[in-house]
Amino acid sequence: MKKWVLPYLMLTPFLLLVLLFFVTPVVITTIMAFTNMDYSMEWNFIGLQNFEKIVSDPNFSQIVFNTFIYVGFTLLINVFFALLLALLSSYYIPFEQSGLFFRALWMLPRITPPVVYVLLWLWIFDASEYGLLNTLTSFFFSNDPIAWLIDHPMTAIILVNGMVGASFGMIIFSSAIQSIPRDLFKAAQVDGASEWSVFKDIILPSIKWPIMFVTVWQLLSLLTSYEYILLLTDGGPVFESEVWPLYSYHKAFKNLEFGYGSALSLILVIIAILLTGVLLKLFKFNRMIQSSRIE
Amino acid sequence: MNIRFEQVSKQFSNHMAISDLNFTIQDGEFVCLLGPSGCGKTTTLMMLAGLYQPTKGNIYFGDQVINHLEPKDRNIGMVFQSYALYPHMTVRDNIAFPLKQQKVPKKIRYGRAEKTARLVRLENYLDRKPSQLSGGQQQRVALARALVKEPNLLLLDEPMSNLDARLKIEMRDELRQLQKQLKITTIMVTHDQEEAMAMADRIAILDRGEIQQFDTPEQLFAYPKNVFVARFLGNPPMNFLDAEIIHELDGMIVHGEGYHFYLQKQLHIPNKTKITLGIRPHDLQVVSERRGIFSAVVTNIEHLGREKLLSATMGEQPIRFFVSNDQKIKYGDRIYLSPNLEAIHIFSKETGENLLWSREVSYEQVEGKTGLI
Ligand SMILES: Nc1ncnc2c1ncn2[C@@H]1O[C@H](COP(=O)(O)OP(=O)(O)OP(=O)(O)O)[C@@H](O)[C@H]1O
Ligand SMILES: [Mg+2]
Repeated sequence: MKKWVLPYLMLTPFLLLVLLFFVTPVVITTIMAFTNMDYSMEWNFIGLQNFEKIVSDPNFSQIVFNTFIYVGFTLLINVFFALLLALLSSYYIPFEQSGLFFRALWMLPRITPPVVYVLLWLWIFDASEYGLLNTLTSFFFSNDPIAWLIDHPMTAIILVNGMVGASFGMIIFSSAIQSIPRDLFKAAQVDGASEWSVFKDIILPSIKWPIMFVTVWQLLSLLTSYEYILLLTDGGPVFESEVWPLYSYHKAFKNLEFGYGSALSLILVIIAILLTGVLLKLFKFNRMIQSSRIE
Repeated sequence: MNIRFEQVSKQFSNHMAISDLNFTIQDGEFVCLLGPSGCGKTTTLMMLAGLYQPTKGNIYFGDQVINHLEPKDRNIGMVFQSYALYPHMTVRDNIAFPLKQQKVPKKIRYGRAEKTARLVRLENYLDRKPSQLSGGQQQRVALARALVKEPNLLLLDEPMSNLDARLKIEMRDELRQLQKQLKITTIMVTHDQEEAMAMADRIAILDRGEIQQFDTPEQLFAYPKNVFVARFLGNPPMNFLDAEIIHELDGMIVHGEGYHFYLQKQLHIPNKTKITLGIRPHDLQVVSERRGIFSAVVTNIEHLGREKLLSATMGEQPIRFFVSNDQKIKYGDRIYLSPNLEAIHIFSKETGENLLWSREVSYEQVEGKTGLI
């Protein structure tokens, strides 16, 4: 009996913190979703009215579409580009040092504060002729300056988020690739395996689990985070790059419709949980855990 | 196609793993690399496989320098020390993998994989993953994968270290027969000298990145070139005693602590040179006090079935020898021993070189049959 006391004792403070900062907000959000709370901060329960409002919201279809495009393409970049970077830096570059340098370079956006990082991109996308992209296009194609963020807002936010997110996957994938015993690659070489076969038969099966982890993780963070979009385009022009979490933020904190904003978030959370479940099934979670063992 | 190493060295950052390796392996020969841990056996195999490039020197297949030939173009089969089985494939797919890379049709390659699996007694494990096999079974999968493509050169890095004694002997015979049948030039690394003695046409003894001696098992055993080889081969190991040489008219006296005897041989070394006397346990005989050269006290008796292995001490120095089962010797007895003077070895205390036999060994080299270049 007694030996259980200490671990509980040590965990309690953290459990309380988790309770305070993670569980309570969820509970409050859930309750708030059924009220029409606004700047007056009154708890008026209105049943399912918020949800009805979402479905009949005139922006609903565009926001769903935007979210779909944004999450889908950014996720693709986050996973596939990350995989490419990891392969390049940990399998094809045989020198430990240069691989490390390469990865460190790609990590920079992650350790840069978003505001600074976005400033850089704002300069790249700047609509005047001094923007980096405009300088380049006018130099090579002698185009007129283009207002990138206004003409191609979705492309811009996908690109920026994709680049930041890719570094995360890259780190996870490279460490997974590096933990594959080198002798396997040597054996494959002796057996005459092509690069494609090495990738397909040795690397890919060994990093299935990290790939799933990164996909799920990035999916969740893409579904719920919006700070880069907020800083880059703020969802604009009009609603062209507005995505679901940003919309709920705008509703709650710009229009001060807390109840409506909460209802939007709640649906998002439910969708995220469902998607995660589907992905876990898709990757055959149980079987994978068994076979990812490397002797 | 014979294989030749010419002044081959391999350096890892600041560590010389192999220095100035020179030897030739004949077509169809079975060669064992034997040596202590870290002496460069795996490195040598890796260079043969094309996985490491020599820092210096050339490796020839026939007349062709193949230093930079890709591993896949060498038609080699290799068993890695770590087995290196593909963890996500079944045994069947593991064995068939080299054939798959050669684009052998599925039916044929599975057929051949199963045939090879039978050879290594794995036919009942074809659908398992490597992680579901014991160490010895994994090792046999690795062996099958190396054999399945019928390579020109077979490189085996301790392919049987994890098998039980009976299976080991079976596999030894199997492998040896197969090797002779298909005439595959084979280079096998092993820690087990018995295995090397049993299987190899010739054995290369390596130490600290250098070949100490490269010879047939009989030659190595009878004419070790230096103390290292003598100590390394033979179980139980050779007895070593300190002594010095005193020249006589037509021979010399070997003089050690508490013993001396006359040897009718001449050596071109200064008088009173310090030497190490080497005598194999089988070359010592228990005799009467009058005829005995060594006098020792028995400290341990091991029954080995057909005979007994005795340990004894002469003053400080331990000495081991065999006696037949019917000889009644007890712990603590004082016994007298006489060596077979035809089979003793005299090594330089300074260099470890065999002073008696080095000459004879080098004669055979001139004849070009065996030995070092
Ligand atoms: N990739 C490497 N980088 C640096 N040093 C290495 C490398 N591979 C081997 N060595 C060194 O080279 C020497 C020879 O190594 P090798 O693996 O050939 O030994 P071995 O004879 O196979 O030993 P064992 O019987 O323990 O397998 C060792 O001292 C080892 O530390
Ligand atoms: Mg080794």
